[in-house]
Amino acid sequence: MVRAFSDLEVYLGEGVYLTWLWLTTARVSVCLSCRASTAFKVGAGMSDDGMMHSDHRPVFVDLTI
Amino acid sequence: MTHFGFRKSSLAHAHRHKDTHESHSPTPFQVSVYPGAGCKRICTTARFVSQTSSKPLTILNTHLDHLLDEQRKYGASLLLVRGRYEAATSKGPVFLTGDFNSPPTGGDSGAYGITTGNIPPVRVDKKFKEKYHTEKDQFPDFKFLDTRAETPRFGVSENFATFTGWSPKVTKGWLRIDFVLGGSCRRWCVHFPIWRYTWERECI
Repeated sequence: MVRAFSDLEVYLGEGVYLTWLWLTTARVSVCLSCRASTAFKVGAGMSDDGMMHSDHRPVFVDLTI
Repeated sequence: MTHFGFRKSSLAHAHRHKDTHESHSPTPFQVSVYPGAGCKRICTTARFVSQTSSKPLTILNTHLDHLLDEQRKYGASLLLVRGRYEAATSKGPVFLTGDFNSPPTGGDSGAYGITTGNIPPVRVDKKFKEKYHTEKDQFPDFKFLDTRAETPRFGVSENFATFTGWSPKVTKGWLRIDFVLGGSCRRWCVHFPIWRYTWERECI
């Protein structure tokens, strides 16, 4: 499944990342070195029914374990 | 209480490892309020397993008191004990997420200071320490690292404040009081879209 993952990335599946095509070949090769990893998002300050229905704003970090 | 989101295709919940644990009070095994605190405060601990790598992942999720810094310091000290225990027993990364109701700097930053190792923890309940006992050689300097500080500057959002108090147009009182912290035992690193930092240091 392909879904937007960030401004500069397309998420293609478990641990496979490609940058947008405008990046240079060198940069793409750096990114592809991540393919063996798995990324998770950890959030804080979100409400039950959506992240903005709160007087707290969401906190995200992209993590690899 | 803060929320932890994950995709079921990536993480499986290890059902035998979940508990809404101890109150952040001097009697942590009873539902109780720290003297002078505004509310009952607790921590939920859950352990997950990666569907792809089978690696374990432990999340501590908490909400510290909004009135009393002494309660926040006590709760932070309990979290430090529990985090070290989870790091030692799970052999995997440990993360602490939560609304600390206090900023990382200033006179009421005790919770952040204790969890990140900048100030020493307070003495906690003896039974709690016994239940979550770790040997002296198991991560003796365990603390939590602020993932914001671990992220390269160009990858950090410009808007740092997390608490708005329903005042989107008046930003004066906004504070950074919600945190995502990672255990100093590592086995994790911040993933950045273009660049991957290889700070994964093996746990002892």
